[in-house]
Amino acid sequence: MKAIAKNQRGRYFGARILAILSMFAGVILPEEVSQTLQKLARDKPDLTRVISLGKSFQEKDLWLVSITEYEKHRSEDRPGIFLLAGLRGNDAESVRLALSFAQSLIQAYPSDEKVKELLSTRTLYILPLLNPDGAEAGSAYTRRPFDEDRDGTADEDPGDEKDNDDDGKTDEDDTGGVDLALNFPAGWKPELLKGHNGPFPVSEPESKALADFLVEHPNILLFINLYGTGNAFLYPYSKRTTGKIEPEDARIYEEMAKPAVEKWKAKKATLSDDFAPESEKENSLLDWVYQNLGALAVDVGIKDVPLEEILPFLRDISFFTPLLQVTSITVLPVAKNIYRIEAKIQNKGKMATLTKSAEGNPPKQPANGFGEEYENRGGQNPRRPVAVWLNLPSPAALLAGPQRKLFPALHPEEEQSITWIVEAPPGTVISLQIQSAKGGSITYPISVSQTAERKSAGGEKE
Amino acid sequence: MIRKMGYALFIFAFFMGFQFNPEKYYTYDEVVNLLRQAEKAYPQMVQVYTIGKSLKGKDIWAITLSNPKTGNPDRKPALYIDGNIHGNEVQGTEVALYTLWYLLSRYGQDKYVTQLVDTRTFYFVPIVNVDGREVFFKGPSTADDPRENFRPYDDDGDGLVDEDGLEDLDGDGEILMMRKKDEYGPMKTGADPRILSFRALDEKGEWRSYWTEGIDNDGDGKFNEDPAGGYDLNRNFPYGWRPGNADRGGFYPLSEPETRSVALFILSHPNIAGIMSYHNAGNMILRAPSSQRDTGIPREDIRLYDSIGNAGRLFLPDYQYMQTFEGLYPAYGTTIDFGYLGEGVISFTNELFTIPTSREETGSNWDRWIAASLERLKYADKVFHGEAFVDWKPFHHPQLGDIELGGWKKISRRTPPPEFLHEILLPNTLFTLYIARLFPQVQIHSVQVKEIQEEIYRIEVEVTNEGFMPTATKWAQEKGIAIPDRIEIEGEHITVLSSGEIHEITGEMQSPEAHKRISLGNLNGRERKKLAFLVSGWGKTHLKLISVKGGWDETTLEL
Repeated sequence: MKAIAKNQRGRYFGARILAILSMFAGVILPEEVSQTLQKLARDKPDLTRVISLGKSFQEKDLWLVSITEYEKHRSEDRPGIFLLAGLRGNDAESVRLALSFAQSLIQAYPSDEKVKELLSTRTLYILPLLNPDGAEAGSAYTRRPFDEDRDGTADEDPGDEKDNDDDGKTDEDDTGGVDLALNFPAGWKPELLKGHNGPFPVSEPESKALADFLVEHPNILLFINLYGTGNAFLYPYSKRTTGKIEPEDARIYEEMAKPAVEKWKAKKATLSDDFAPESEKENSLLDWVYQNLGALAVDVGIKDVPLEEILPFLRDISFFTPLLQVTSITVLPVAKNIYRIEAKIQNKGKMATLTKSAEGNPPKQPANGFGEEYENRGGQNPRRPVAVWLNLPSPAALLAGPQRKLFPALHPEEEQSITWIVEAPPGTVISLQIQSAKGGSITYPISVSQTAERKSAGGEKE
Repeated sequence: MIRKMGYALFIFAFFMGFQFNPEKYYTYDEVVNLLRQAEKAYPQMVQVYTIGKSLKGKDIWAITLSNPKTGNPDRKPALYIDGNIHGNEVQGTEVALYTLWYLLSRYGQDKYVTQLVDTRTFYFVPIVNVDGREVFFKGPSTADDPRENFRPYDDDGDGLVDEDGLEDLDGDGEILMMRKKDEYGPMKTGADPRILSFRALDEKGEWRSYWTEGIDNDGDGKFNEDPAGGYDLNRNFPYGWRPGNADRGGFYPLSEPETRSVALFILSHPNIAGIMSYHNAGNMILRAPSSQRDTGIPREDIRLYDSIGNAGRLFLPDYQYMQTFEGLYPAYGTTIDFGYLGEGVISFTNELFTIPTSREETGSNWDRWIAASLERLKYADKVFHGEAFVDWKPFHHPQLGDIELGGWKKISRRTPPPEFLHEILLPNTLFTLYIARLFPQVQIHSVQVKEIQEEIYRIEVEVTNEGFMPTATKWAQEKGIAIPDRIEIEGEHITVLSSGEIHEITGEMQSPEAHKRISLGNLNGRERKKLAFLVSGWGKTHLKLISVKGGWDETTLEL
């Protein structure tokens, strides 16, 4: 036992030394990421969960830390913000910033009121290094053998300035070679098979692990990718996608970008804009997130941006995500043991509970709906309604009003009111349930009595 | 006695080793059993293996059929055949299995089959949507369902998944339709009392239709509006895939284990030169692309497709040949678009079977639809001798009260009763094998060695494509995804001084280089090319002609 402990300690200190050395060399080592996150998890177990989304090609864990007030709610019951860094293995600056952001949140909690509010109303998911194999090799690309020149063999001409395969070209098929930012389906076409895009969209273990996590967490409404090759604030579409984003969504992107533009003169532009660094112009990951997940996707350039500017910026744009609140509850006795209950709910965030991009695509009419076909065989963006209902303890009963009221989306500042007529003995505690995959879930107790009661709800309760 | 019986049993087992019944639908377990038999009966030529697991954890099986004595199976042009990617479209599996049986049972006796099996490789994935097939036979299922896989999915957009599925209320193994007498209902019976149509403006209604058999599980007043699953696997492939879950194509291409297994299988077999993905129904020979018009598709490829498709009508005279997008409807993210647009492989989908009707039944014209229904019912009454439709019968529904249950059985409109499978199996098999017959097949046709001076030789090689298809489609060549054919020279004691293509008549080497490997581009169908190596040295010299989709050929010289 002792020997093992000593060995582990040795490895730990070894990693520390490597980490310090790597700071000077401008690279980041996967060990540094895992050590930092494990330490966060040890220091603040009530605020953090560290999990691995899967393994890279070289079997390195893809570590993710999620941060929220775990003791008070489930992480998926809060709107989520996903922060990604290290999409390219050699982007050490972004990895460090993601780690610093996670650390800064933990340190500022609970003394900093904004951070306290953020972690009580939202969940942050931070994945500091998506390409650990590339990081270790000092390369932007993954390490899984890939046939970049599509000649039928992979990695046959590595970067040694020699023509290893006697084809008249040098270094045209280096070791590994997928740029994970380009490995997403936006605008996928056969021409992309040459170059660093990968053999098909989401082909790599790293990109698949990320994609599956995002798909399985529909509460994520804001996706932030950090990149180190510039300082522009970028948003979809990239050059891979033709067309323009929804104007409603564009307005939110613009508002989000304001502090970056004012404080460090960031250009705000679409990924395909001339201002965008070459590395980001075809960043299909952001297009994919925006088009498919009902989340906004932003690409935040951090080159030469001071830490004291960027950390509050990341914290503040997280507040754009929606926040459902019960704004008032009115309980009015209308007869003996019969009450009229009116609940008002409102979205206090700056985004709707669904991006404009994910609305629309109404269900198709059946081709010939007579009896023999299903009503709805067409596809659409997965709908993410806000559902509101009452949980009535026996013997209370619903006399009128919706069993389950659905709102396709709640827009910023939009208030909705729902009315029920309920029969219940005095003193019954009814719970109001609000559930939205993207806007969060709220349970709100309502107790009824014979005296008229109007109550203004200050915020959500558990 | 026992020994004799054992011997007889052995003989019996040997002959019964791999018997395909062409009048039967095979369940998943029966398919696996049959494949095991094929492997046992033909251990040299058949390999049976799994390529992945479905969402529910069932194995997805693949078969390689090839004669290893005539060459490495990976180095022969290959035909890929799959079926049942839509869970309810089951008979593609039977066609794939029949093809396997047809080739194996006729090998050695039928010259055509023997030559095909000796020179090609055949890959089969008989069931792609294995979970769907299982539910189709075990129920609850209809002719149209389950089409997708079983990834939980919120069909009705109420924030809940899979909360209101089908129920076989009367326990007859079929999910029928429900109707209730209601003079304020929108429907009435017409020419045939079994078929409902909408009432005319000045008529009273008689019936209200409640769609499929089942109960309202979630109390929203609707029946079966959110059954189990899923994503449409034939909308989940890259190339032409649309975002926003268009046509239930999923969040990203190849997100589903079933499609990912198939795609990785195809990608890891670059020798695949033709793809047939069987579906039902409609009697159609559909070709790629399915996600776009032919604009931008090379004329040479369209000619090739048309030539095959039109020949297809000799095998399948009742089938229509068409470009999927233009002829049928847009389908984004299909197997055939992955095959053709992504890999440059000639790819077809045959839509097996239809009950013939004289009318165009697509579109929203109710009258035409009802007229077609009547025709189908008449056909089923006569040809299927009343086996395909369950006449309406009274039933007491727990929520609706007195209703009637009736309608098409699952084996009816899209999959015929099993004794009618005959009509599907042979002609589709022969058509698909015809595609394989056209495959490219490269050959070192002749080699001439001239000694220029001592230990300096000029080796002239004539290479041909004996097949009718090019070694890569024009699309693959234009998009830069075709892997060029090449010829390589190897010898322990030789040095290449110069190499390259030569003029067919003058023998002039137009752009000489000094590589051991000459890229030939992609040989067209029935094309010949001449090339030469100028080498110094002596001894055994090996020539290797490599075409990823057109096969390999090699020869050895002694200098």
